Amino acid sequence: MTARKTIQPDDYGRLIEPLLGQAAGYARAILRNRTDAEDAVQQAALRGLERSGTFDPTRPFKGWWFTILRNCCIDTLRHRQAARTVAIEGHEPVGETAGPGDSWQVLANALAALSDEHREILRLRYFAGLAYRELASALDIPEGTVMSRLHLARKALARNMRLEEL
Amino acid sequence: MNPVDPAELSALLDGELTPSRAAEVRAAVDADPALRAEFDQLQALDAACRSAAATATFPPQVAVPAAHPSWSWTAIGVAAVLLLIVRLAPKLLDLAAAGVLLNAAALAVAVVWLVRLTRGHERYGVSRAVERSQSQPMFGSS
Repeated sequence: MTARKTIQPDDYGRLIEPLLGQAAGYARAILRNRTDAEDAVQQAALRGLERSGTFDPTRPFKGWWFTILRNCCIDTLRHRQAARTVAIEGHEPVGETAGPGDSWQVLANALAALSDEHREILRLRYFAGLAYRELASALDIPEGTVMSRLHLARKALARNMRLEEL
Repeated sequence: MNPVDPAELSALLDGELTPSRAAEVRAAVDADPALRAEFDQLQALDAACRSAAATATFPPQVAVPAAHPSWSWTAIGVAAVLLLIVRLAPKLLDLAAAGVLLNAAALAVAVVWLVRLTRGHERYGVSRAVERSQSQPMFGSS
């Protein structure tokens, strides 16, 4: 039996450092809030380190880590939902106000109108910048399915949005 | 040449086709106005989406706490020193010499430990669930 190669803490920091900007953008597109996005990235950084022993080195690191980040974002959404249930009036989390140059909000709004499958693959493609192999790993689907799903998602997005809006 | 699957237009756009297949699909796009129109539409959409998504990025202030101490090398060192003492102790006539050896070994372990500590390999009292304010910023600006 061969020893399983895991990520050393120093290597982990080196691997996630170049992903942080896109990670922040991806989390922001899901959570619609810069502060929550930063917290989710922080949480994913910690969770990834704790789970670095479960990383399969034959699979792309970026896809693995963005899966963790996505789960952190989902946790945040759940907490937000729970907080909303018991919220006193005026305590609900507020989304970011779109400023000039914040065309990501237009894209995020357009993605919100798509199916879950199409929205997630486009979000991972554009906000997270995942390649096909990384998308396949993150979504746990074959690369051939990535190609067809991404194409259909783009067609759906094109039907729902005018490019001039971006 | 195999017929072009519409999804291959996306793959061509994303640079995900093999070089030979990309050349075939590109030739088909050039030869077929309908394919060309579809490809151009995808290309414009892709450029707009990339540009829009880029406006969401920002450098987050992220701290990764130090890992728990790795005991492996320390344990190996201690075990080796103890083994050495056990093997050599009967041969040492003077008990004081064994004491000196023990102290020297302990000092050596301490030095190795301190070196590793200063290089950040081992830190104590830092929980993995450390609050951001308690850990050192590793990336990003304040």
